[in-house]
Amino acid sequence: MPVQGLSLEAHLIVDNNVLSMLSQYFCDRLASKCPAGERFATFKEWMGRQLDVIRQFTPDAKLHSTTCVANEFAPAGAFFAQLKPHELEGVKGHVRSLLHQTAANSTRIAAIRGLPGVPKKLFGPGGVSDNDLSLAVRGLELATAGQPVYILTNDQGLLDSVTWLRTNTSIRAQYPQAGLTQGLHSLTYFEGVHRNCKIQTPHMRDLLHYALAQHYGRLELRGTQKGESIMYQLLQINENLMQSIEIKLAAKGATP
Amino acid sequence: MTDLPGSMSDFLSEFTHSLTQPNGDAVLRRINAERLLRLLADEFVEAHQAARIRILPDNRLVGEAGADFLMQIDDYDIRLQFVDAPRGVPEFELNQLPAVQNLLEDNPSTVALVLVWTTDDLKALELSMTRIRYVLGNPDRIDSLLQQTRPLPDVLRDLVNRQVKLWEIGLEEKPHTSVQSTDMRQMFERAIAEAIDAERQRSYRHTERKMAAQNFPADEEKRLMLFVLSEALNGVPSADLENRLTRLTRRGAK
Repeated sequence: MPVQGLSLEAHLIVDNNVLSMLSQYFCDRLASKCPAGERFATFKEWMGRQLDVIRQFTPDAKLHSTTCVANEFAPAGAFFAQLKPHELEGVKGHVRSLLHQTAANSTRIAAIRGLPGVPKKLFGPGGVSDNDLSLAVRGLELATAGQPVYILTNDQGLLDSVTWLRTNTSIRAQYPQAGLTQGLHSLTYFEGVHRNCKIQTPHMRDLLHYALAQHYGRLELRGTQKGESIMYQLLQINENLMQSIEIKLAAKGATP
Repeated sequence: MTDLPGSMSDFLSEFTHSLTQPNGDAVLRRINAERLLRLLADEFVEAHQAARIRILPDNRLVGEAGADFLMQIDDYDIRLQFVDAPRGVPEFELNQLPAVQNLLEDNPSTVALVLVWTTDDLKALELSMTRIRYVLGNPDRIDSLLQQTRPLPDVLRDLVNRQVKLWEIGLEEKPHTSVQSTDMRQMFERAIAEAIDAERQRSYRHTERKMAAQNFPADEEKRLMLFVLSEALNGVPSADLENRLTRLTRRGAK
């Protein structure tokens, strides 16, 4: 039985917020389980392993990014506050080195903002940043090779921008393969990897619950029923994960 | 879109579609269609600021009885149902119509159900019960129905404009004129006086009726009715006014 859902084989472009989410997850959930003297070495090794897991689905064995986005990676929190400045720079440098970086194309970014009919809320002041758009442009460039490209991000504005760009007629005239570029929430891709048996279910469940808790921890949900929203989304995540596990086990020929 | 803020909602939607859509391409088509719908909704809300518009995930709120999205505009609603378009053009089978018909039957307050295909330009078609029944009775007309698909913004704009026309209310401000406003009280007073005079001038065959008409306290009753009118204009409940008018009838018949 084929594994249902997304095809994972694609060029991958990784946004900084994905790296931040993973590093924060390590600090909050895993760091305390490591021997005190080995935490930073363990962190580097763990980050490398997570990125290797998704790298195996790429046709060029690269995780793409732009230099400006890679430079945004700045791990924060109590765990990293223990580091001396040069050690922190070492950690940053290590994580950035896991990415294949190219320079942002500022001319094309400016051209996108000037496209006719461009949604102002999305591309105007307060909308997506130039750094975000540099990933979208990189995605369009990579798609010219004729293979699918996934931009993995947790930024709603970037996801919406990529969807708008890939269907825009001016962009299609410039990049005929623009339709191969796709924005995906990073957790959607990680869950697809989980369904392909490359991430264990307890780890996936923990990452999803962590992301949900972080999401609601960050937001001031004025005028919304926060408790109900959290409960609803948690239930939906668990329900979906159960279905995903069933698909995963069926693909392996096992029963739940 | 008026939903929970942030990307967690989007992720859950992607996750659900990755489990429910038949294949990976359908998953991506559906994800992109929902994002385009959200962008379009933002622009639509901005362009129709006079109306109160909310877009909600319908089947998440009401379960299977709902469509994919519910668009609430002032006090009416439109439901949006996605249809996959694997070939990039709208396609629809006759056997899909009963489900759409059930959806409309289950939601009688819905003024229209709009089918939205997961094409790049979100082709859409407005369906009503009449239209569905016609196609079910004339299956060969389904192709001509599909030829009427248009981009979703055009379909929504027409639907909203049609509602405004039905109510005969323009959303734009009326220009000020130099004509003096008509005094409703004066109009009513004139009409009441004319009606009473007409009654009094009727020729009666029976003497009792002729006497009653001559003795009718026209001025007094006119004053009372005008007082009732001014009370009504000031928002006094109709039940209270009804009592006063009932008393008027008894007094008038004396």
